[in-house]
Amino acid sequence: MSKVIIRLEHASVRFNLAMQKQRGIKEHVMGLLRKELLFQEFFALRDINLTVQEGESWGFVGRNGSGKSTLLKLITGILRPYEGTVQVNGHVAPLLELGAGFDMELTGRENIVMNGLILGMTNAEIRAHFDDIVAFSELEKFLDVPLKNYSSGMKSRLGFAIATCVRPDILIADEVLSTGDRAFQAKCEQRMQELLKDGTTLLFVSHSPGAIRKMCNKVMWLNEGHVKMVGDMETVMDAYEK
Amino acid sequence: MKQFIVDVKLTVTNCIRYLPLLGNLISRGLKRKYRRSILGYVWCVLNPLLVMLIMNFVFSHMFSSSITNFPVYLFCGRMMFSFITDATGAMENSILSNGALMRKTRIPYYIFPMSAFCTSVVNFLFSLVAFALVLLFTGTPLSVHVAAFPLVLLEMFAFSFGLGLFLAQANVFIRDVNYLYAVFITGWMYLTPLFYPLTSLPEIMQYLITYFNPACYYVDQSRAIFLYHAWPDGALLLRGAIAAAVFLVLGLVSYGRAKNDLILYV
Repeated sequence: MSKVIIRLEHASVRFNLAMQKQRGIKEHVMGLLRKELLFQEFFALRDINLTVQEGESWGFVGRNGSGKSTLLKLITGILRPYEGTVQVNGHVAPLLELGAGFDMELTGRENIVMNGLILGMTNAEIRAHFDDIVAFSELEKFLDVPLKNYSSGMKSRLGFAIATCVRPDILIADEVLSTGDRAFQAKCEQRMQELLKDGTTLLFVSHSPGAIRKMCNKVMWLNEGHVKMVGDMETVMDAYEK
Repeated sequence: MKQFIVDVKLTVTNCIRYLPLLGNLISRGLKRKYRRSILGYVWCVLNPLLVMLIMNFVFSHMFSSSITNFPVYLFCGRMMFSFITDATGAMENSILSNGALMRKTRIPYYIFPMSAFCTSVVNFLFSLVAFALVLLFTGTPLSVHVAAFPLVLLEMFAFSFGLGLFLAQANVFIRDVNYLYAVFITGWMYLTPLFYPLTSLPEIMQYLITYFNPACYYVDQSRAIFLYHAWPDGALLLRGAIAAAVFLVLGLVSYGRAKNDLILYV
């Protein structure tokens, strides 16, 4: 009997477009005078229901701007639902961007510690997995070089290695396989498969149907913030690719 | 009330969990500042010392007749005032400049103003070393009254932290705060008797500055301790404590109200 690890009920995310617009003083005053007109709301996600069991591997597909990343941010806890509830029971390793929080001025070594702490690891965990991270990212020679001199592939490798070195309960991966060369992609896929085998729950966004078919057993198809289809990977992906 | 206690408990455990990250952010702040410089951390001490020498050279002829031990008078003022402006200025931009991180990872936002504040405190401690050198060279002895200095510092730290936290969240919603505060600081500096004696101003100005310039409370107290070898004036100590409490509450409350919306504006 597996247990529910993520549960979203009628979750919506709303943004106010008017407040994000760059406005000058004149427009600002005018805006205050006719406040209602400038209050343009936009639902990035509307009425999403999702129940994820422990150990499942979910893929999220849909066009650009359909709300995939917003959904992952909602589950990570970066965004709050405007309506509905979001429940997550477990340690989340968010990979919304490889190496989010890297400091370009610091060296690779310093960034491993920094990034590990940002992801919520303890100093002891980072020390214990340090060699593993270095080996996986193949950056032994460049550990004491500032990150600004790394290639984008090197940064991706390092980011992925740090985020996956401790087995998280939930791994959230947003388009992480699109960077890096083929050898690195294969390596990442293998690492994710290993984590899945160990019981990690995977939430995976990708524009590559091949990758989704390889990695996931459940799929949610989003369109303009609504759920278009949800269910077994085969069924949804066959409809999606048609 | 019950909810409040739960909130406080959660915040405290959260703080402890993120303590190592805070430490790392502080050391990053210091490291980045002096990376690739030959003298490195020596600058922390050298900078206030050199600025003091220049100001001393320029202003001592103007005011030396009315102020005894001008170097110590000047350094007390500058040291306290620079801390207030450094800390609040660094905190002001701390949330906004970490927007990219806030959008991609889940760490409590207060960690950014907090680390900016702590970095400023460390810099301040370095400037105390410079201050000790000034005391040494001018042959100014220390007295028992130094025992009151931690209390003055506590007041100043609380005041700066509150003001900085308020500015940090306000700056996210209204970016003009940044420019406005830069101008404000310039005015504030000239309206604080750092390198001139208060008595050289018209009486009405003296009155306003004594009562309504918080920086003055802390500067004057430090001068009482190091320059005049006396206990800080009770009224001054009280005013400093009130200013600290008011701004601390202002900062915490405004941050508490804003924290859930920060991510939408940053």
